[in-house]
Amino acid sequence: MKSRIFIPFLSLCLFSAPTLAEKRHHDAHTHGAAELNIVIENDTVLIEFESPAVNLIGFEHKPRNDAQQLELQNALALLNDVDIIASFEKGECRAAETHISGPFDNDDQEGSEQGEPEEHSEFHATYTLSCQNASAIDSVRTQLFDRFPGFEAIRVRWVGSKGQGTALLNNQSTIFSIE
Amino acid sequence: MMLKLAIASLWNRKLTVTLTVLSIAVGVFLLLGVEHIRSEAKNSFSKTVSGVDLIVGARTGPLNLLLYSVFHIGNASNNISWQSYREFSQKPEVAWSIPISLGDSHKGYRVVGTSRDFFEHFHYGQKQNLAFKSGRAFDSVYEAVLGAQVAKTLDYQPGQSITLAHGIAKVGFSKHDDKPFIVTGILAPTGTPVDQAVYVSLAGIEAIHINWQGGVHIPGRSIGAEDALKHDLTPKSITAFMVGLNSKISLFSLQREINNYRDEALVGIMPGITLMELWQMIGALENILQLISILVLFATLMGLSTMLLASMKEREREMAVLRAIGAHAGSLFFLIEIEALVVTVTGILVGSTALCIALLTARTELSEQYGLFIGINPFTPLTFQYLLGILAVSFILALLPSISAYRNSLGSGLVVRT
Repeated sequence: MKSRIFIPFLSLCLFSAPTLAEKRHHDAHTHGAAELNIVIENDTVLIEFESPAVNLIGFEHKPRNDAQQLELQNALALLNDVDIIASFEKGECRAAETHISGPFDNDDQEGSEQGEPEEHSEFHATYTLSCQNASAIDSVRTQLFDRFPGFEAIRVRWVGSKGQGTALLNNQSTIFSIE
Repeated sequence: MMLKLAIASLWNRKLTVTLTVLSIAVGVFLLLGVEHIRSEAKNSFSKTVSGVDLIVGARTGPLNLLLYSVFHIGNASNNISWQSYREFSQKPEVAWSIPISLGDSHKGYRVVGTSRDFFEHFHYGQKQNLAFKSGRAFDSVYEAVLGAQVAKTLDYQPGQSITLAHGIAKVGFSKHDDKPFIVTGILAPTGTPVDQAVYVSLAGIEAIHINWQGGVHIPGRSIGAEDALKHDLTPKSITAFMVGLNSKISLFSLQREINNYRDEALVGIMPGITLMELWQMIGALENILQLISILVLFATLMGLSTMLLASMKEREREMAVLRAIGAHAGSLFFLIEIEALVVTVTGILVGSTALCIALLTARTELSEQYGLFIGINPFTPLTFQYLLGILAVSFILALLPSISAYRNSLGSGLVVRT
């Protein structure tokens, strides 16, 4: 008789186990580093950019004075121009859709960590470009190093019709080839 | 005329010349060998997987996952649940998926549990499809398809019955001999690790392990091949799966979703990027190897020059006689240069022949042990540039003895010695 009582508890433990597996999850966040993903398919180019806020504005808390507020506005304005993130010599591309989420616009925060105070904050930007001739794109250039002082290394991963590839950009090498 | 004289003169000093030729051959062997293997390894690795957008496995290093899932090098750290596989393979952005279940072997060849989608969607080289040399894909539980190399080495034909061994040891103690498989098809050669494996259905893998517990066969709990079919043969876990997407635009977001999946620690890797990272990682090592082989070759060419220079002393008389019978001093210069080039060319010929033979003997070993498929022809436009470079360097290094021959031939040679 007694053992029956345990069954619901036991099954509760057993079945909740998989969901417990990943309760503690933390994304990496390295100051100075950033990620840039590029997909080229048909005549669409998708660019995703993700960076710790400190690389763009020098701080990761809510702006505390006018100067910091201005800094944030500046950064957001610069991010609005996709050519600063990545520009293509060939392909004749235009930005069709731009989505930028700054570190402090709460409605755009990714759902999971709500409620917890954030130690770090990040910029996320997604751009969709439509191109006349995307297959001609063979190299990409970024101006992030010129426009912002905080970048040390940007890891690029790209996917094109010919395959996948990666590049590590820094102050000296700001152009990479897609082949 | 000059060439004949040079060869005759070299023949006169067979032993020293042979040793010099051999040392040059070793240098050439090393330089071309390193260059060849490095380009072929890259080639072989990058043509192994084509058109796969993501490979998903238990969370581990990207390189590790790529090596065990595609190249069958090393072993999985963990398996992933069938449930997670179902969840991701049924997402709308996924066009196709290939499950992979590893862990068994047949006579040292890996057995890969997979689905028929493997034969349909797996690509290699320049997006080439897998083709059957004979037979067809597996249909029922106890049917197997062989890679080209497996069938060739073991001399199997469709219809052959094979038993799988538990684990990957060449001499397996535990065999699944109660449930033999029938070979239904043999794949055409691909020059990739695909040739080195036996393919069965996931249900087949499940069926042979049905009366196993804790890695051993439970005696007395024998369930026959027929009875096993009555069990539910849906796998509980698989090793990894490959994914092809409808549109690459969704690639990064799906990868993020996999890497942040809360129910199981999964990792999704992009095979092309992981390979490129591997090349970047070993690039420095490659350069060092190349530098070493260039230095070795340079040292052997210096040896050639030293050999010729040392022989000048004993050949003073020969040179003087040549001058006396009317040879111009310039002719002696060219004589020595020609000797140097003859030695170098012979060294190159010996070295490259040895390399071809070595590649021919090592290729089976390389493909079986390391999944590396190496062509046996080491000659590319680049190697010819190398060879021309070697000739140029040997010409320059032979200037020293040649000039010495040009200068000293008459004066010192005819002096009467006591």
